[in-house]
Amino acid sequence: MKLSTQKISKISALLTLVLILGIIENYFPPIIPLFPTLKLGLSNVIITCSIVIAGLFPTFIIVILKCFVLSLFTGNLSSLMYSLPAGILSLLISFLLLKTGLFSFPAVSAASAGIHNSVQIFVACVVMQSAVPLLYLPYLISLGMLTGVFTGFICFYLLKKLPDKFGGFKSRFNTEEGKAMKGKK
Amino acid sequence: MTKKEKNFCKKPFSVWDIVIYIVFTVFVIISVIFVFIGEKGNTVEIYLDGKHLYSFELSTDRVIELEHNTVVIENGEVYISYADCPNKICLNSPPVSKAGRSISCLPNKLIVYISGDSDYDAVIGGGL
Repeated sequence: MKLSTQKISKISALLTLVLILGIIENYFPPIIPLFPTLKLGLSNVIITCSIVIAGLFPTFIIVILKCFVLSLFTGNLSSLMYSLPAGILSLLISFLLLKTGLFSFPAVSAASAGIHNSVQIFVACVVMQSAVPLLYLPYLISLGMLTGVFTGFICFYLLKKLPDKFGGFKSRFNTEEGKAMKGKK
Repeated sequence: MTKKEKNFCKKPFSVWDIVIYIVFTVFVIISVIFVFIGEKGNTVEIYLDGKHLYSFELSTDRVIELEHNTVVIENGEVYISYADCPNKICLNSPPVSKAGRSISCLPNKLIVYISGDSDYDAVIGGGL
């Protein structure tokens, strides 16, 4: 696929936001001390938004670059083998769910967070050559869903408030607010 | 601009969301059942770097000193009393006694696993 300049700049702007949120989040204390790897996933807000704003392929690039650069920033390259497959699969899942148009953002976000966490556990199983990490599956899926609903709400309200020219709901879809905006003009 | 796309930009809820939530709740419940059904184990297995290192009876109290960790068997329960890793997850994890449960210290690649003799253990333990 050929990338236009507009798309490249869109990707880089979104990627910058993702990376900044990811780094800030890295300095947060863990929400639950038992699972220090469990994070709110604030950068996923931007990733879910960018599926709507930029489309699947640019978001795919953003996810891959995010995994590489964040693992460099946090100084933990081995986390790449967990984050890369999980990120790609949850991106595809959330894209397909959004494509159906039936589900709202918190649900899509929860689903992709659940998928993200379970993929990481399966990778841990493969890496450690054991079934033991599977015991964490219920905790990580349910916690992931809670954080997913939270980020989904942020994502929804972010897109709702986004001005016309940045490709929020108002310009993209024929919503009540969109119509009201056009009426004012 | 299609009618389809309206669902996720109108409200943060949709009727169809229930499908996603139900699917994941069922998934969680199934995995919880798999984790919590389990009887008292009888053997403590210690794995280091994926290799089986020691087996001990759960009934006899014992202190096992490893290179990076100290594992304690006490009153039919197992816990880790010392770890030199930075995150100390294993120190914070509660003592385990049931078959199929485990404590792991990922930085030191240590897994303390309790095995019993039911079919369930065979399923979980099979991958070890």
